[in-house]
Amino acid sequence: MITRTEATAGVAAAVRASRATGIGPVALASSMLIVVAAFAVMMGASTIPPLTTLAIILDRLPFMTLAVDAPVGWQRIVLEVRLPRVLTAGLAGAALAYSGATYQGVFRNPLADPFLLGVASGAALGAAIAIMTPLDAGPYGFGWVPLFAFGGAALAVVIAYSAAHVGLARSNTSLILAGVAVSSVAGAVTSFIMLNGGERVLAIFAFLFGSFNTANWERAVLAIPYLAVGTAVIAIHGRLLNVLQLDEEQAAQLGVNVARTKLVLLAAASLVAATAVAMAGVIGFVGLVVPHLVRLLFGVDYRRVLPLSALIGASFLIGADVLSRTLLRPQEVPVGIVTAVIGGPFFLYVMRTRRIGGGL
Amino acid sequence: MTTLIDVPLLRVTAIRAALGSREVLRDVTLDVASGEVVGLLGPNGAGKSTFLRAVTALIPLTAGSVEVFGATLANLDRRALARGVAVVQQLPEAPPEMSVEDLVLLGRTPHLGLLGRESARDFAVTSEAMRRAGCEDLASRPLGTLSGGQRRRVFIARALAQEPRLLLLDEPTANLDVQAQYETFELLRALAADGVGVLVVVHDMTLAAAYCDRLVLLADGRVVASGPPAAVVTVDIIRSVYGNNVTVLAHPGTAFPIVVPVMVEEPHD
Repeated sequence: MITRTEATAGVAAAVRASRATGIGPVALASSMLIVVAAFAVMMGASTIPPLTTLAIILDRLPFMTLAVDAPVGWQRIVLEVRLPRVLTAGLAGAALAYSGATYQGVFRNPLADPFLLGVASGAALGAAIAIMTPLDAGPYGFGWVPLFAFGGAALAVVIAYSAAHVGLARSNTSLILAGVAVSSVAGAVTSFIMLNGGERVLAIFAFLFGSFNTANWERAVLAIPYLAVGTAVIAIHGRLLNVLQLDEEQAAQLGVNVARTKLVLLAAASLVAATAVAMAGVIGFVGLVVPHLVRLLFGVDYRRVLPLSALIGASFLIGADVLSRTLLRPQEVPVGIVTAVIGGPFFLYVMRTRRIGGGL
Repeated sequence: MTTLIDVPLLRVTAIRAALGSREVLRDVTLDVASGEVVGLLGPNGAGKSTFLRAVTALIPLTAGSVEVFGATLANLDRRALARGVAVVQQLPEAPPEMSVEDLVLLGRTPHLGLLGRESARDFAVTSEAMRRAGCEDLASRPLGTLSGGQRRRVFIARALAQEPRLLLLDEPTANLDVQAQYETFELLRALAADGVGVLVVVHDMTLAAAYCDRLVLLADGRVVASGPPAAVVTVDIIRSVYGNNVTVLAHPGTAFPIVVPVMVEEPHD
């Protein structure tokens, strides 16, 4: 049925498609991430010369021995404070944008974000309980708050997903409504705890707006396996996310088990988002806006939208964190406030200048 | 093709199906064999679209059986089904920014492996499907920029990219100009000549009679008539379903039935 010339045309089309989905934008976004991360490590309350900062870091890489002439205090600041902080911000930004892209793809809804099924409100309630309960030393020395936040997020999503089971299928609408219901219950309980929280309210409040000022290596390293599993599962479903952009009947007629694919994707995306929230608190906006921005600039193929969302989400949150710790130095502005104040107008600008097909 | 000659591609036996509490299909029986174009007719609400959904396992049956390629529908998984059966819906949704080629490539979904990477053959099949459906010149266009007729051709191309042995279409000619309607049916005839079985839902009885090998007329979820066009599109049968203000003429050259309104008063000026 296929002739030689048609096969040649097919190869040409394959080359064309690989160029279209190719590494250009990814290379660009990766370079941007490296620049932003390097800049972020050089910025901080103490003025350490930028080149010294870089030398301190490069010296720690294998096979690199630089004669670094820097005080031990500087080394500690760079290696134990700034580096884990930048790493955590990057991981959280990548995770939020990646899971946000997945949620928007599954729900075919531009208003979906990774907190749609209750990840944020569940995590906040878990964190509030951990903060109010006098559990001082947590396991591995990084405190109980992340663990409780992660547990609360997971529980909220499981409850919302189970409650959305109406008849034979979970429709997108019933999932969203169940998420709203679970979020409002968890939010109400969190508010009640805060009203009776005394001086610990400030700690809960800080969690609600997100912060990286307690970032450390242990927490960042512990998060990596969860993020790796979740993103790997989503990554191999990239093409199926494209199929899901059609209506669900078409997806089924193309041989996709829609219910199972949605369950797997939502579980993986919720795992990734819950890990990010456990690391850094509730940081809004990144998961909603970055995937949009990527689709507006680079098109709707999820095999490209997913990695680009992660890279740009990481750069965005690292940059926002730099602003959060330098704008009102020495006081820190909660990073969630920075992401909203910077991200909102920027997104409106991009939306107005790149109006393509009217669709998001 | 390894089809056994006597096994129809699609054999539907006395199926019933309901939407909520309303029974929409009642004892519908229908076969589609390799190489034939079968037209499914009936007034709005007769159950035609529901029939297509029932035979592709999108809604459950309450009675009867559906066999595809000799296997019971319930025993076929979605992926296996989609490798042999393609559906062209009436008004399928797709993101307006998606390119025509990317949409048609999605037709390869049931043939791809776990990682979903397309091979050179997948691209070749996609190119051939676009050429066959007459939309290869649209390959790089975003879907949002297409006319209604172009959009129809693109979704037919996606169905062809599935390399189906059985093709089901829901009103593929609705809202098309008369030339585009003929082109669509010429394509269906050409596919049938290659051995594909085609089942097409169509409202225009004249068009259906001209191009289909057999017609099945549904009304209120039941098969009212079934057989060659001349046996189904008769004055008595058509009036029993559509009312008394239609009549049937014979094409002067070919004697195909032509369905026209009865002019009771003098014609419009």
